[in-house]
Amino acid sequence: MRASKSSPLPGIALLALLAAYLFPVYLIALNSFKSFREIFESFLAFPQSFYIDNYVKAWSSTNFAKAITNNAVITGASVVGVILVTALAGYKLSRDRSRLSWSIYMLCTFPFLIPFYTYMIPLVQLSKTLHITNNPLGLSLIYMSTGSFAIFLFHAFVKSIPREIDESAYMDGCSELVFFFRIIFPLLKPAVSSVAILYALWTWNDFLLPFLVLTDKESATLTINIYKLFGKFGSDWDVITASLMLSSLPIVLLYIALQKYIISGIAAGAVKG
Amino acid sequence: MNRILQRGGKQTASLLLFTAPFLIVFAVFFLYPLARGVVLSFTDWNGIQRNAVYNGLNNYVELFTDDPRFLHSLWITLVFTALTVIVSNFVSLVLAVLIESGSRFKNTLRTLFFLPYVFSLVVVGFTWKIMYIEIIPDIAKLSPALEFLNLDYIGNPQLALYAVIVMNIWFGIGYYLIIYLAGIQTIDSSVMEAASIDGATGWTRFRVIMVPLLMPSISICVFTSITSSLKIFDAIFVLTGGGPGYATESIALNIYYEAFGSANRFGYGMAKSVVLGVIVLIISYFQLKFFKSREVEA
Repeated sequence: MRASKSSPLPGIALLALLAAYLFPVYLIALNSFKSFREIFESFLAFPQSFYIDNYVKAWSSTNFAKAITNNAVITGASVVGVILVTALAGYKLSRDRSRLSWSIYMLCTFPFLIPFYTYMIPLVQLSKTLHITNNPLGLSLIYMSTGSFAIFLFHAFVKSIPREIDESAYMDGCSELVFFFRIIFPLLKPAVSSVAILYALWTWNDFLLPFLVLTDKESATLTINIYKLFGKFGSDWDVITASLMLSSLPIVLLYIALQKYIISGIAAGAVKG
Repeated sequence: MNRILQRGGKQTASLLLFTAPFLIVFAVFFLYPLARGVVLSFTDWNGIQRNAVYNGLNNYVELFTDDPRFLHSLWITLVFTALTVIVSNFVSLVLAVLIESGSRFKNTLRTLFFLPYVFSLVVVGFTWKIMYIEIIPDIAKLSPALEFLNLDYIGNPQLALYAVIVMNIWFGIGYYLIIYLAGIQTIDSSVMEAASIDGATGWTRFRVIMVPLLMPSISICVFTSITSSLKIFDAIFVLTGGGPGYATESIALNIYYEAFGSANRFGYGMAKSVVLGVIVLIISYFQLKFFKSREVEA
């Protein structure tokens, strides 16, 4: 007999699969609470006591307080900036049916297909010339230029907002920008949350671009500091596992708190895409 | 007539007003470096000297005829992409169907399978480095039956590429899973029921009905996985650095070492970047075209 819909068996089998899937995460977490000796004896054993010294070391070795501030500034400024400039552009490009508008839309969205490496070298050179290296806000400006995908999403989303709304507002004699921020922007909320989530995830975790333009120790992000650990600590797994945990904690907590929005935001972003 | 022209002018002005903020950063930080890169790819520029010497197609000729390391990285990238795209889409699609069809813990499963995707690839790279060099050998020691697991995953050139691929698939599955789950929810359940009544069994139902109806989701996931695999950098950089030797060096790593390694051949590195860009464009174009022709109306 086949298992019926109400049988818990397939669910339990999938939970077992999930446990195997998350096994690496579990082991990193486990070992982050073990002393170096304990780790050395066996990676698989349970910690004998709750050893939190590793976290104290991880805090300083990742320059955590400074790095997380940098992350927050870069991600915050980039996401706000991207949303602002791409919502404006996406809305107008969707409403304006002229040939010029179509050409601008094409120009703005084609980079979606261009790998970052294609223009990475001149971009890094340019950042040096403009003196925006080692500057979190300068990096945010660069991230704003990667708003193609956001324009694409806003452009598609605006089509679902009836044009009558625009026309009624024009009759009221409202200036276009005021009208956009007062009436249209609040209606874009679902698209705004998709864009915010996707770009926050990308910029928070991004590695190569920050690695190339934030060369100064004090402007480094969490990801950069984690990368540098390996050179510094080789295989001091106690500090390293704790650092991996500590640096991932903020984004994991955020994910757990906002999981419903994150998952529906990603699904919506993909379907629109 | 005059009024129409005036309205046209006003319309254009407002179009430019709304798009200017984006267009300015876009022009400065994307269009300009891209154009400059393409120009520099025809020079011998090394990043330091003021004047780059124009050398025509020399860079392009060299990378295809006299740079086995680059050609190897091209091959590695293609193998990496093919395996990642096939396995991660197959696994996440099957997983999505299993989770959706009568599992009680749908939300928990979806939430936790997605978890690795919120980690940075640097964290993921180190996690798997520890897995490969410490944890799996420890598991192998548990019993003689598991001894076969005790391998040099990262140090062995034959295995290293697969070690990287496994890690990358592990990282991405949750993302594709979410897209497939969203796609399955748009399928009318009466279609599936009708198929069951007509006697279609599990696998046939999956192959003949699910897959065609899910073509839009499959198209998105395949597209995303192809483009992200062709561009792979972070994960390999952290896990193997491209080694041992050049065994896991992707095009992106090859470009990175060319430009920022000891050689400092920026112009030559740019030529490679242009080739990578063209490859991604061509593959994306054919892939989108292929799937467009296979989508069905639900």
